[in-house]
Amino acid sequence: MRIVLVGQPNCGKSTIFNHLSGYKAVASNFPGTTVKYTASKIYINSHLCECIDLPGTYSLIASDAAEAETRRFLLKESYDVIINVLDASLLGRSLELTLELVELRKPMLVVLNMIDEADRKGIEIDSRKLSQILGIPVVETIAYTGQGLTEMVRVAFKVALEKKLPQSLLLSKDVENVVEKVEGIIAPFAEETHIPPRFLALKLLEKDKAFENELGRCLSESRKEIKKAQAQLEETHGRPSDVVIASERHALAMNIYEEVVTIVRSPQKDIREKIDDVLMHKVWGYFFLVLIFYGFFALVFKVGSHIETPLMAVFDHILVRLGHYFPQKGLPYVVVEGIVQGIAGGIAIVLPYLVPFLLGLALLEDSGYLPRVAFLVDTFMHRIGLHGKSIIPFLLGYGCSVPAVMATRILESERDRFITAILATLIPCSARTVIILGLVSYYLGPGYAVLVYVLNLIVIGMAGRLLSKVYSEVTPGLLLEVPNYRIPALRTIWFKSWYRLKEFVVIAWPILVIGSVILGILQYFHWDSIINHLLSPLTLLLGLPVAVGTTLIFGILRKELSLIMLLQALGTKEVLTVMTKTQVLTFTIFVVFYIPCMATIAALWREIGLKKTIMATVFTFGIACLLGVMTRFLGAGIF
Amino acid sequence: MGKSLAVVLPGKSVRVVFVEGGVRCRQCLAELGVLPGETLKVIRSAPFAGPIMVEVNNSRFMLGRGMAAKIIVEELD
Repeated sequence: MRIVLVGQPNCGKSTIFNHLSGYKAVASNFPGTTVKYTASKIYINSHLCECIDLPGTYSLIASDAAEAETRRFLLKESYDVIINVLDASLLGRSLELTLELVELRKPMLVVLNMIDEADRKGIEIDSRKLSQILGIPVVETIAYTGQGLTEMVRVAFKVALEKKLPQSLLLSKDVENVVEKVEGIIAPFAEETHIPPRFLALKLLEKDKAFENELGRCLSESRKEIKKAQAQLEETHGRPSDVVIASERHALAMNIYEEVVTIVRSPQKDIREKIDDVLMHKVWGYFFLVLIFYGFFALVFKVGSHIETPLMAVFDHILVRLGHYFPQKGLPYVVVEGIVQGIAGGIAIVLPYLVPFLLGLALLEDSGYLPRVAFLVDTFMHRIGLHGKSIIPFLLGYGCSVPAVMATRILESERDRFITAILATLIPCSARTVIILGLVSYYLGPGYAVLVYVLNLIVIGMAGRLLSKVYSEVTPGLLLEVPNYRIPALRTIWFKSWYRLKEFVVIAWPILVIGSVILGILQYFHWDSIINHLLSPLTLLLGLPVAVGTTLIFGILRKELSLIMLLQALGTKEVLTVMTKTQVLTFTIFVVFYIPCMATIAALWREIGLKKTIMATVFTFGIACLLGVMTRFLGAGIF
Repeated sequence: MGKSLAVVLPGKSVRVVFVEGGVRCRQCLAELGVLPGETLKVIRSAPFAGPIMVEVNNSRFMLGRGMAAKIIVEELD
């Protein structure tokens, strides 16, 4: 049995999904966290079921890539029951999607989530009445505490078995007449594509581009007739036909709302509004923006460096002891040393920074602050040819470039997605943060780390301007819902951080250990010098020791490998004894900007295509070389 | 008299008269409840001709100036 979760953005679908599946999806407090569908096997009454979490969508007319994914799934895939999740505190608007879903003619139930939030707003919902109107069961839940979810699953199972269909609700008489006429015209097409005719008719009257094109390919004759039907509506209502249908559905949703809702008291003016007065203030807003992000990175560095130093000492000690066991330093020693260094790199260098970083990022995401940042920076984003929403992929990029690239699906235009994806890969991800903090900040001081971040922002700004000049199309502009602030639940913060950390522990760390052994073997047989020799034009250009050549190759696999391999390639943990400060800075800046890692390249390929991915790779490599050379010569003057 | 939403000052409530611009733009706004006859409240606006924050039907969203300019409204007292 296949169960799908559908609902408007930020209504808590992923939170429900996580409760059912054990933590399998990332949920946050901003619209558009889920951009592709996630599936998980769950057991209900000892039946094996598949549960699918679809990206949030305001309506079934897709306006961005993530919404298109939801629509494609609902129309083309097979499933047994739709769980329509609604934010109970926004019932009126949420019902509009429900009215569209009803037309899909599938077994369905309605879940009123965040019922506590509705209560806070003084909204009381008569769910029995709502259930009567829609002809399907209605369940009340509070997803983040898990309340009502067992009941929801039980009802979903029952609805699927009974194949209980919702009832269509009728629009005004004259509109219904036109809808019926269109249904007649498109009947053969609807049958062929297995799309319910009424659903298709309504969407065509709403001037749905995707359906218009699809239909145009199959039945060019009927297109004219549909145009006629649209014109008929426009004439009688004095508005474009899409507005007529949208208004009708809106009115219907509002009528249902009036019928089932009692406002028991006026909403309490709560503290969250006061918070916005400060955090979105014309002056203070920017002050706190800088303070919050500065504080965040400063804290990560402080925690990280406090842990790194003693741990490094422990592993240095182990390596010295190891030397006593293998007095002749043969191949076995090289292998064991490689393993220990790989493990040491993970524990002493990566984890001390990565863990606090991921916890902090999860905290920021769940608080609901990120969309506010979009509001504050929209104007600046327009300067680089994008709009405020692009800031969300950018900020996610500080965690990992892969979700950042995927998050570009929340953008409406292909051009915006492409530019944002390229720029997001330039943002130092947590792996590169580890390099910046573990190398520049640790050896040169925190001031230089700040400098790297500022330089990074400037470069992104310039690259953005350049790309938007080349692709000079006007961005559609910002349209983003503002979620309420929420106090993040410790459980979700912990699960989300662990979910992301697991990626490092189970994928990157083994590669790190193996890579470390391979590098050891290469060095033992002096094969690394061949690679280093091949890369010597690059290392010479950047003024780096020839020995770092191999580490740059490893860095393409995983960015954090560059740092750990660097320590191994140089044969010491005291970097400053073999590299000058300028070289340390040049190395870091080059690694921060050059070619995205393998995982990111794969994500880019999927999102923007092969050609543009190659372009992005060449583009970032060019930037890295340019900045590397600049650092080399400027650094010589500074240090 | 209609005027564009972009010039409405924060704190004012307005009624939507119509939405200019293409089908796409109209559809996106309709999804959030911006339809002719609906009431909006401008909550705040960002500096440097940045976006505005609007309340409609209990939900809040932000809207770039470019899009706001396409929404023709009349002010309510």
